[in-house]
Amino acid sequence: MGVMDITNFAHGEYLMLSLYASFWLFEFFHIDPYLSVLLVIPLMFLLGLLTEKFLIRPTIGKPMFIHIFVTLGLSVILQNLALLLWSGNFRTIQVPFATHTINFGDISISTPRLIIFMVTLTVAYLIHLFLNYTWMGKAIRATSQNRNSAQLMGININRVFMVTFALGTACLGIAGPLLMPIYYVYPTIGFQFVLVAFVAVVMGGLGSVKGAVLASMLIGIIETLSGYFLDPAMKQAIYFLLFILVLIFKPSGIFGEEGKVV
Amino acid sequence: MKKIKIISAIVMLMFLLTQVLGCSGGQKAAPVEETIRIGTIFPLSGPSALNGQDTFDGADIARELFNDKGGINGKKVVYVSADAPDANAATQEADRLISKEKVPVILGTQSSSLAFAASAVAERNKVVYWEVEGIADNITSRNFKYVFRSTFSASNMGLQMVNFVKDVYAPKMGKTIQDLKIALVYEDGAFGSSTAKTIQDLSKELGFTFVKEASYSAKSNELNSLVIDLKAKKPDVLFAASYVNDAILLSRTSEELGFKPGIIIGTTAGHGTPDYVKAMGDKSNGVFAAGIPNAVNPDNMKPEQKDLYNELTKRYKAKRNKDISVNVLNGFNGAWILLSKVLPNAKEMTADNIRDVALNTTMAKGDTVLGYGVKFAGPDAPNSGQNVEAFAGVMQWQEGKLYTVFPEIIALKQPKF
Repeated sequence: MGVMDITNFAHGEYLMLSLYASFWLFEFFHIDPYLSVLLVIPLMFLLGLLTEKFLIRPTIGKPMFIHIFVTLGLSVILQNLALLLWSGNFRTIQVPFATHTINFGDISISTPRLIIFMVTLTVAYLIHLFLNYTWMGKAIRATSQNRNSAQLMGININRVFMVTFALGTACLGIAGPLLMPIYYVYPTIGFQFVLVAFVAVVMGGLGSVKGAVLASMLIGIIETLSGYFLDPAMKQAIYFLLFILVLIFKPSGIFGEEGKVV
Repeated sequence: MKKIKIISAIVMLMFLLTQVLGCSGGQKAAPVEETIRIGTIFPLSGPSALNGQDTFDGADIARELFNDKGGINGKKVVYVSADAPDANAATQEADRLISKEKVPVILGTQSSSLAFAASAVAERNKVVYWEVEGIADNITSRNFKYVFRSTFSASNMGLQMVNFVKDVYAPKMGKTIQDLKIALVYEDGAFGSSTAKTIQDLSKELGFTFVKEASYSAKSNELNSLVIDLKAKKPDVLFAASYVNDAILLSRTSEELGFKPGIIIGTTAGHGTPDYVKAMGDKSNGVFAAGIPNAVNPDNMKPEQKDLYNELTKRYKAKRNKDISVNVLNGFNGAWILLSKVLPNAKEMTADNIRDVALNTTMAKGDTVLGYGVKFAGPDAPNSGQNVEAFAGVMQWQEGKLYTVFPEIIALKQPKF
């Protein structure tokens, strides 16, 4: 979102596709979701490349509303396509480790959730390394800072956009299979996740990996604590309130560079 | 800053859009003279699409069967169908069916929130609203003149949940219901809230208390905080008025966090669905669900009902290649009462005629496929339009199958604790 100046409103639907991919791989080929990650990542990467090439590329440089309509339209199409192809049923898979927990006295930690947490941190760290220490990563950062200068420095920005977009969808290729053992999938599930993801990204500061990781942890903690101490029905209200406060007092986000997002 | 504002606005806009999208136009019907046109409103897309499609299928099979048997004096019944994924769409579609399609009666809706919204439009326009599945009390408690409900209301379901604990579980444990530690959780929509309200009212009447009462959004993607708190309260009984996804989430989170109440009594909207047992497997055994008795035993039916039931299961199997669900039964039963008992006796197909016939329609216990009789509360009675003969049952998952265990007269199996 920070690099390309494009807000992909179909991001949640890509998560939905990734969940369905791991669901069907399990259903038809009995591939464990933790193994199907290896298949779903390239699949989602490829899907990202194709989407960028055929749908996003033509909108680059056009007014913001054009990409909003394209991605929002894509989201509606994908949701309804999923409804048509796979019906509205709540699909789940059953694996023995889905409800496995590690206990320390009174504290029990769900193993699949712990795995998600570890993988998320690792992936975030890898992305951080990628952005800072590889040529492509530097090119992405350069493009995000100033598109024209980057072009003058000989960076092929079309390639940068393609890789950036596909990396985003490839990350969902990791998320889907890891979420499948503990969640369910249905055509509109993406929206449940994407709303909070937007909050995390904006709160953390657009384009900041560190910010997004910290903001999402903050939201998770606030959600659980406010649910426990106040009322489960209130938990979304509390973090949205915090979100509004951040927007008022530090509109660039907690880790956003001042002036970058104007 | 400007961009953030725009993005935030779009996120909100997107939220609104996903709520509204999916409403589609209805099929064009044949000319008025040769057919009898009935409007239908069901959620065929969106989060309730699964249940909505099933209920519609049931109602549609009732229509096909009725037409195959000759219709009304040779006139076939056709549905002018509308999709309502949310309450806004339900209102708009009810408006359209009434003002553009000019139907005298609307059949719906599966979800209580949708029924509540759409039936208000029908009442305002003096069009009969025939609810087959939405069970929230407030649908009939407004004492509308044109709203009828063939199925029981939520208070009856809550009543049966409490009765089951009072009459079966508590004695089994050698206690009274007042001695038991009871927790109540419910989704915060019309369905969950009204079911919870009945249980809360009964708690005052019978003098039992709750160790925990909490509501949550059915769209939640985590319920950890709720389950952590429940675990600390160690309830003997957990009443849960949930839909499918939150029922699965609640049970999986409970499993992860090691929360095991004495018994769980959910409803057929969540804990009693095939998707629930698919998700939970063996872990679903022992879980109770109150609602429409799903496992109606055709052997106990009168011959006419038995034929109807067999025809329904056969046609649904041919259509969807799966077994009927409670939603299918409900849709079928409600539509069948309207088509076979009410419409043929109306002199003209006007809302007022249909309403008068409905108010005078009575069916004895055992005259419907769900076992109950039919008698609609009159305009002066509380909950006018409610079928006062309808009742809910309590089912239990045993070896992966849902069996009716309460009340005793319709029970197929003994409850296992």
